[in-house]
Amino acid sequence: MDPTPHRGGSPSPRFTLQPSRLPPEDMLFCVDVDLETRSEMRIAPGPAAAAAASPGAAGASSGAAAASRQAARPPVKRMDAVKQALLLFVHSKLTMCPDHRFAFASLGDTVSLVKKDFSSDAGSAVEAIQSLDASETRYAMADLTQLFKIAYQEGKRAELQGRLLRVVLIYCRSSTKPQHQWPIKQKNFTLDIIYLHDKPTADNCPQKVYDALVDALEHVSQYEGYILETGQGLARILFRQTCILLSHPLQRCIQDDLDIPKPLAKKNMVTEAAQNEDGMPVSTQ
Amino acid sequence: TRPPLLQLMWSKDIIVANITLKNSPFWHFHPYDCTNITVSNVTILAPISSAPNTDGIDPDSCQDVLIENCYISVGDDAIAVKSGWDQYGIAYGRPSRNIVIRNVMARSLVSAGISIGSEMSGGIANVTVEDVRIWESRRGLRIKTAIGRGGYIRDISYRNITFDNVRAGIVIKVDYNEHADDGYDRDAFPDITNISFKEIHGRGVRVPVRAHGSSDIPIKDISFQDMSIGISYKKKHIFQCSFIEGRVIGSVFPKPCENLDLYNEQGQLVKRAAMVNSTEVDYDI
Repeated sequence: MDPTPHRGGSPSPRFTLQPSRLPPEDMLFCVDVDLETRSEMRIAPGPAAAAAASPGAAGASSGAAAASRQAARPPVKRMDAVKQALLLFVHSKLTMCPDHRFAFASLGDTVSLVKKDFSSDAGSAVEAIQSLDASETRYAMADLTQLFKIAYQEGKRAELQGRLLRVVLIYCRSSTKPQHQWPIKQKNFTLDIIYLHDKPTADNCPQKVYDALVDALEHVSQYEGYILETGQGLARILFRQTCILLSHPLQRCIQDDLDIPKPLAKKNMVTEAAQNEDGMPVSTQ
Repeated sequence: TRPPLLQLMWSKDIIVANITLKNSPFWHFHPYDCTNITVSNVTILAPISSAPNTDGIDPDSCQDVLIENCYISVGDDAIAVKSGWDQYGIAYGRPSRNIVIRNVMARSLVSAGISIGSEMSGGIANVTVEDVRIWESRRGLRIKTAIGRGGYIRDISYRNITFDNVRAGIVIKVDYNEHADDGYDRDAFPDITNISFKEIHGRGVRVPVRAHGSSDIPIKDISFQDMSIGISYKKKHIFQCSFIEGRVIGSVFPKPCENLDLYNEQGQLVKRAAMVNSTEVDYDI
């Protein structure tokens, strides 16, 4: 378009930002099916807790009623919560843009494809999600090499089609460190991880697993990959983390700069510098 | 200077209950040199930013205090236990003692949920903080003091604390050099002894622990047990401490600093602390 002429002077140049679309995503979900995905998730502090706090016969009576209500509700396993989270993700993502596509894999000792072809059909995604089942096996290892191989091949194909390949790994083992033999080569897919683990005990070590997952992510991820972790066993936290992963890899800030809540006190830089309130202790010697 | 909303001095047998305190120009409730205080079912609200000194409850040189069942969302510390400032507090010599804070929901976007100090020159002892949830805050639990304060902070117990989106979960800072005037005693070192953390949980915490003593003001006899805090940083070494002496009992997440002795759940020493008094990394919180 021609710039609007100005009276009495040469027209100032006008900058126009050309509209462009973000590449649609092909998303490969890899869901851990180890025995630990049978662990129970907590929904929320139930009415039993509140009832237990009330004294007296009425309290006891309502406590009993709450207990029976609690017993009637089937327990939610980790895999159940993961499935719900994936359904939430797929429906939300397709609402944003119907061009996103999904494929599914499971992780035991190694990776197996559950639904190989990428598809934007919600029905077939739902079907694949519902078919995921927690195993009764405690797998001795978790080899991600095959996952990276598949992702690398699909990443090349996606790039040719003007799409972006993403891998979302949902990992649930509190002791088994994932491993891989993957060379440093051109990075062509983005890896996100959700790590659900038990609270630390003498028999497990989620810290080592977490560190290994971070290392793997940083080894392979093309764009900023997020790793979100929880040991609290609350389904609501998983859903919240799932919502964070809805963000497009090209529209993310670096995880370590995911600055929530914002440090509003830092608006006053002079005061902040002088106070050094949360920085390292400054030696007065 | 701005006035506190409700200030009671040299009084006893006080009950503040079932009210809402709102938009104070300064601290909302400031009991000073009082005995036998109960604060129950109180809501305190102030703008969450640009509202300095709108602390919720500041018991100051008070004994036998119960703060329970409160909801506090303010622009500075939600609760801060104090006992006088520098040479004036030392001279007055009235400690804050025998304080229970329980079943409190707190938000402090620019400061801390529950603070001890920094004006603690009369001494602070025997404080129990339990069943507290701190959300959307810059710091969760904080203990702060400085050279010149003198006095002591001892026998502080935190149990069943939950952080939800908190930048720094637990902060201990001994160089908070904000003084009444220049007449403070450079040789008045506060004594910090017997701080215990048990059943500490959370999610979305950038730095779970930052506990820095100094050569003049070491942190003595600190313990962490049953801690599992969900983190939002990818970094390692986010449990930081220096000039500290104490222990970690059982397994905790994330991995504790090396300056603490490690005990197993049965109370047996597993690993002696490495004698390190500094933390190399300093993350933005």
